Amino acid sequence: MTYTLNLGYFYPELLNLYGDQGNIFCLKKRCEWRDISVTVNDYPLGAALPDRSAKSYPDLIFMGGGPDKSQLAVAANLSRIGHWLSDFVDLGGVGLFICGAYQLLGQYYQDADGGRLDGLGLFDLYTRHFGKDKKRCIGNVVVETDFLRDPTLNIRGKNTLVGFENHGGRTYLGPTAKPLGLVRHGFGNNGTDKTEGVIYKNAFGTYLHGPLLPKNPHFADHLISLALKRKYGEDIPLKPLDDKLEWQAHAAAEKLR
Amino acid sequence: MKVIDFFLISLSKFLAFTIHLFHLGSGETWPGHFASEISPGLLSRLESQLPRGSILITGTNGKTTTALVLRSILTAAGFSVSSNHSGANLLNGITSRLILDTDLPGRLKTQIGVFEVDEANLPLALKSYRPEIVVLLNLSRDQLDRYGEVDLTLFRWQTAFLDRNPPTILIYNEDDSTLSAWLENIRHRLSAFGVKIIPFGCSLPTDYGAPSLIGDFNSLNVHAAVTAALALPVTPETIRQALIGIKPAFGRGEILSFNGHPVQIFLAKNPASFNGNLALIKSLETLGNKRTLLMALNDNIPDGRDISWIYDILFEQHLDWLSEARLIVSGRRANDLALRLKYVGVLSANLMIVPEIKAALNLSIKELRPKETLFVLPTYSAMLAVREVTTGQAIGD
Repeated sequence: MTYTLNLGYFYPELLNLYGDQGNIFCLKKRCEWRDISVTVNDYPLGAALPDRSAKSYPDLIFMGGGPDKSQLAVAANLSRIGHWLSDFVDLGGVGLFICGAYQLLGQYYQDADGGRLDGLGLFDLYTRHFGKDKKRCIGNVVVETDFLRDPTLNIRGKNTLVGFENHGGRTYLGPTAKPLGLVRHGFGNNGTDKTEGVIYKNAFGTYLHGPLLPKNPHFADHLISLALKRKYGEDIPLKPLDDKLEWQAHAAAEKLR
Repeated sequence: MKVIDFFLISLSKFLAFTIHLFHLGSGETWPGHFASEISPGLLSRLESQLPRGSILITGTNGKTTTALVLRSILTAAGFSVSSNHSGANLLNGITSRLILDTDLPGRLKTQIGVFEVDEANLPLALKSYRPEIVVLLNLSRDQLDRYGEVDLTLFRWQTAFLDRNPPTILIYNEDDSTLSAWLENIRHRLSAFGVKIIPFGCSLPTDYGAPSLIGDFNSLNVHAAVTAALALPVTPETIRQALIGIKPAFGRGEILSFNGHPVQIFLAKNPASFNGNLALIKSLETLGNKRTLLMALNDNIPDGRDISWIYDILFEQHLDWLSEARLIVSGRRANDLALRLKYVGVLSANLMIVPEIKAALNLSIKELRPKETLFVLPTYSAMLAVREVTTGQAIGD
């Protein structure tokens, strides 16, 4: 049987500040290498969104980070797509939301002057910017997760995520929020409570920006597995790939300071 | 000039001499840093001694080459020029250069300054003194962990131009949409200050060319330098003569020789410069059309610690010839670059990973056929390392 997946890439023209598209390249190739047929649909600002019964309805969506101006444009548009997005996530749709997108899916973003930008409220968290006198969170990050140790995702049982963060806002999780993981190195959500990112149903938010997935093939495969399971209603084992280069880059990144 | 300045200038020169003597560096940053710390305003007092003033060149890519071209033209026109040609493009580099260009009593010997300045340091430069001409080449995303977003840079430039010391003449690239859109907003306010605004760009005709500076991005750099020279004014004939003899700046298309092979180095420090250089290498004739390419990716401070940008290099557009090429990846983040190329579709059998740069160069040279050129695409600190191996010397030695 040939499996097919629809990837929805949101606001590629606005939210591709740090090579975020690398995540799309990665998901697409890792499906193709397993003969899973993939269609990537771009959803730029203002694009019509397919309804649940449409053939192009996405199985997995991705939204990245952008410069402030673009994020404001996206935030202004969120009210339009908010209902669609909430519906998608609440029904178990698989999503990866990075940096700016991660913040916008929280309750609100409060800037240094106290101004509030309402988020979608899908994630139980809020973000505060303390002004330019407080240092940005910039640098290499290593995160320990408790959901990636599954040996079907990687024989070595690796549970770490490696990446780079660069954010001025600090994010605080609410009581019902489950973090993506805990930082071993780096700032994570706010630089104080060790948490990084969030998991809500099959949606993942993180500050590990740009091309997160190529160096974290177990996470990429986790997203693909979840999307297949949701679409076909059963666990579909993924064909193992030769990930020597991926793990080499992962191991090297774990040592970066 | 203050009395202390003369004393500081002598001391700084001695410092530069010592740094140079003991191979501690090029001696083109620390003396200026030291002197400015003790005597603030020294840069402005030195710069004001230049009878023809100074020209600042800034932008994301092309600063060093544009400064080189302009310096060559002005030298040919008979000017004595102060210029930070080792690429030390922060204010301490400019101050160091001016200090080194003074005579024994501490007076400046040169007539005009040609300085490249880091785009983040332009506001500080404009705060320190008033240049005659500012050249804006382009502005694109580069090292976000150091510079922040492009919009932020533009905002700071705007404040600097409108509040501080606007130049007499502003020369800008009208083909750079980011720059021209920004300038459209503040043009009338600049004009009110008496700033003369001169556009250049590929869409404007030019019959000036420097034969050794290849690539579309270099024709823009030449165009920028020529526009500045004409504004001074230098005669077209002098400019044309000067352009003939210009060789590329260090690491910017420069050809070195290593173990009997030409090694051509193209600094590739952000998506824009990487893409420009890939297009250029593709256009170059090679033996049997099979190229050997060494790409070296470092993540040291001068390169930017974040290497996410390699996913914005348009490798996919070059898959045809890259698949045929011998590819060697090197540098501190060699594994990341190898992984990027894997997701482009390059087969791992065509790819060698040698993180150590000297070893990578030696191996690359062995891969070459007789007379074949090795093309090197390094980030900034990797470029310095490549040059050090091939020339046996560090920059400034």
